[in-house]
Amino acid sequence: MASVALRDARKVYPNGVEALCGIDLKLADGELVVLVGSSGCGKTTALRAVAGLEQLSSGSVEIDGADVGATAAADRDVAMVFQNYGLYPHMSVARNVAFGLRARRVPRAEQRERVLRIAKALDIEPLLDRKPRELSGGQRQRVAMGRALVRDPRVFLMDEPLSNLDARLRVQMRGEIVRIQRELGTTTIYVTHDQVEAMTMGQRVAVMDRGRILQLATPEQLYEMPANVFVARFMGSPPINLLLGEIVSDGVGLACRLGETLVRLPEALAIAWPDIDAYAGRELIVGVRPDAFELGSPGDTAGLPGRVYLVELLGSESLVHVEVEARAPKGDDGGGMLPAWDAAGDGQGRLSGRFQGARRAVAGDSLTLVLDPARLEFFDRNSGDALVRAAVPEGAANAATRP
Amino acid sequence: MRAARRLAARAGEHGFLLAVALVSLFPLYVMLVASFQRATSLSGSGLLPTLDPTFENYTEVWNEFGFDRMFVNSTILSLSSAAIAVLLAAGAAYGFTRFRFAGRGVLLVVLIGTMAIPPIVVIVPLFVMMSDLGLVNEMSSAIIVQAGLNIPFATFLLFTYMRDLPDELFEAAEVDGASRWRQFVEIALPMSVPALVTTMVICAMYAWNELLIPLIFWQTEQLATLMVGLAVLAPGRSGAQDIPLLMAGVTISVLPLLVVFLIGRRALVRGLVEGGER
Repeated sequence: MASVALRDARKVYPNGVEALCGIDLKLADGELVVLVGSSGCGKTTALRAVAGLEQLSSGSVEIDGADVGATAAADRDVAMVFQNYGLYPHMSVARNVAFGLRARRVPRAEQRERVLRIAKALDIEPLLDRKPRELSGGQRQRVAMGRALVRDPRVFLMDEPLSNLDARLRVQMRGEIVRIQRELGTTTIYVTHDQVEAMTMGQRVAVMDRGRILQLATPEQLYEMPANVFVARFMGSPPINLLLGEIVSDGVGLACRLGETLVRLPEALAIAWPDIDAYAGRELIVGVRPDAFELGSPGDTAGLPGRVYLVELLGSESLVHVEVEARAPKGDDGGGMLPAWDAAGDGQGRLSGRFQGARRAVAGDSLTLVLDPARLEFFDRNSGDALVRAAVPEGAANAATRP
Repeated sequence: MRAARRLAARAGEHGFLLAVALVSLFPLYVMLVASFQRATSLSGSGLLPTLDPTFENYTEVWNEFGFDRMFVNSTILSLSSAAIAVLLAAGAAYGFTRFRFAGRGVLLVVLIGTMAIPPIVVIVPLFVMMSDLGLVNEMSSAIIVQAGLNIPFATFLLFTYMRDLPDELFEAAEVDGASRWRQFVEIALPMSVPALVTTMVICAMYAWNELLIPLIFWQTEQLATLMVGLAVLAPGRSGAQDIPLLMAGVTISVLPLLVVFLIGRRALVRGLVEGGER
């Protein structure tokens, strides 16, 4: 067990692609941190740099305070679970699991004893004599875990280990990996593109985009206090909805104008967002969570008018997608921090809401949406950063919040 | 209508393949038929199986012309030179696929380029070298030369196979603490078995069929190989050609290759056409 740190880690490939743009990441001893982001964001490069499979262009990797930049992968005492498991097809499960022990010249008797212990813990004991091709995806995944666990390494590195499993097995293994990690207390970096995995597994989660860490925080903080529009859009399913709004000060108080609709902002909101009155007369990006608005009845006039274009039933709840009379950010809005699919959008405001119970609307319905102003999020239109929140100590939203 | 056309197309395909097979097998047929005939009865009925077959030709070449000893020499030359070539080529191929070093591409091209050099071009310098080392007429000389001439081809074949082995396996081994040598022995070699077998067989076949190298480096009768024996047999000892005797000798020298090919043809083709990707 050990602490791990990446300091100002940069990686530029010979073709000029900058995979890491100077990231800082520090894991406490025994912590599980998830790196999440879409493909090409640099999360796997960061992981491979810690493993020693990738040399940084500048910056450093430290394990237990010692710079391991010049240490070969074999000597870093880390274990890695690969996306395709990396099992040796010509070796039995037992030999696969024991490979690292053999490489480190652990005595045979001890090898056998440790392999058996891990096999029991992972429930792969009956499979020890089989070859990887005779195993199911879930079993292979367990064997790959076993091979990493058996060495009792200082650090675990997991590169999308669940992405080849079906949805049901993924949920099961997710819980199991967290259980094992907590039991052993081994410092773990877990890479995934799946935000649900990130939210459910990580003690802290680093959201990455284009080689940078945009926010490193607990799952709760990421969801409740996203540092910028990218994080807000990336986390949560369905994700937060973004609209363009203008802050209006009319003597009575503050309001947010969305299209032609004025949403009055309660006084408490001005306290929660101390900078918001500075935005009076300016446009900003307003985040509306899927559970932060209600569907009005078809004849109501108060609220944001819209037309339902899709309803998805998910059993106990339904997702209702509404085209509203307001604009959405696009292109360069948010300082280039909008996810690609938003940046390429048509600027038409759309809200997706999650509602308990069966069908609440049908496609084609015209209705009004009643927004809960207390649950709105505000982002600077030019930079994409969240407005400063009063409740959060300064700087906390942009950096680690745990010592 | 469509079924009839398909049938006609299939018949055409099969007819073509049959014709190719017949052309290929015809020399073998002539060889076998002739080898069982008596020298006197060959003329006129050479292409038809004789009604009075004899094994005498076989016993004669085997016992009197020393084909028994030549068979052993050919086997030693083939197996040992192929084994040396494959072993060294496997190491080279592993190096070319797993190590990144300056000049790697150039070196690979140069190595593969040497495949284009006909052995006869280098035979004189090689002979001088072996002669200086005092190895001419020693068993090792032809084996070393034959192995060396086969290494570029063997490296090329193994390189194309090992190149496709998944990187992830070697990275997993590296993180697990395995040295490069262990990665070679425990991962690269066992995973390349189909290619190793194919390369070994092809190299052995080249060596088996080689005339020039054993003729030049093994100049004593004790070290003659089957190909050298056949070359001696071809003009006939008394001046006139003894075709049935020659054909019996050819059959003996071709048989091992045929057997190896028939037993291992699936594995051979797999090693040639498949990459190591799983």
